[in-house]
Amino acid sequence: MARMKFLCDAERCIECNACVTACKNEHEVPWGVNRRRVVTINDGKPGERSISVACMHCSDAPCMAVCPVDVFYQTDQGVVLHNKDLCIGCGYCFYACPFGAPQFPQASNFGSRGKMDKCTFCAGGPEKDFSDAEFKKYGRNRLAEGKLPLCAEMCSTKALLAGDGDQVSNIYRERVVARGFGSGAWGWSRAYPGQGA
Amino acid sequence: MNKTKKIVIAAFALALASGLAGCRDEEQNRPLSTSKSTYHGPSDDKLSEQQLREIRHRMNIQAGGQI
Repeated sequence: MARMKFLCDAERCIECNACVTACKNEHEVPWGVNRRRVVTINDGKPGERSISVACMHCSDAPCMAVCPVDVFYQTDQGVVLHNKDLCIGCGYCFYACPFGAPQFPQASNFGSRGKMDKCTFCAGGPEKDFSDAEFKKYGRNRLAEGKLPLCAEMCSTKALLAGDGDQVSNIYRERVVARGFGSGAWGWSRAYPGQGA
Repeated sequence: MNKTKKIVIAAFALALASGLAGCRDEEQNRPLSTSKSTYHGPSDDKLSEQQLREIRHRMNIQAGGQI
């Protein structure tokens, strides 16, 4: 199995925020913490696009590189997880992450932000699978139940894809061929100028 | 060296020793390490082949298929 990946199809996302709500509900995420959010560009103008953003579970994750206490690790499926018992709440991961994925329960200074929280790809944490401790710290472990992240599974337009990177890319490739134009991916025209929208 | 000074030094040494003694994994109730770039916490449970098969199967729903 390839690495687990998220991909948001900007041509399909209708900014309903159901992925955000589903995530908060499934993991009982506290107030002030958003593991996932929907970002809209050109709001109300021609060319408006929305994408759902959370931790992208980077192959070479910058959060892992900057963490002074090494709380991060990757599972065999490439999911970037962290250990809240080791976190000192310094916030370096927040500054390093290009997606703004790391979240903190309190907005205050060094060491008083509380333990970092982020998307776990619905894979829980280092605690024993299905234990109360795992749920309280990291939320539900859907991967261990043989399920995919809820945000992607309940997406009504199937804009948000999650799972084995090979399968995700196959689904997306078929969509691009069916559409018959560009990739529809957010940022495509900037990455490949002059090659269609 | 007068007696007061000796007592202060002894008290300082005692406080330092007790402070350092509180830097063990068991007392902090978390893994402690001074070596960089290595995760030292408990390892995650690995997914079985059956679990991975079920996950792959559920990918078909995202492709427009049925369960």
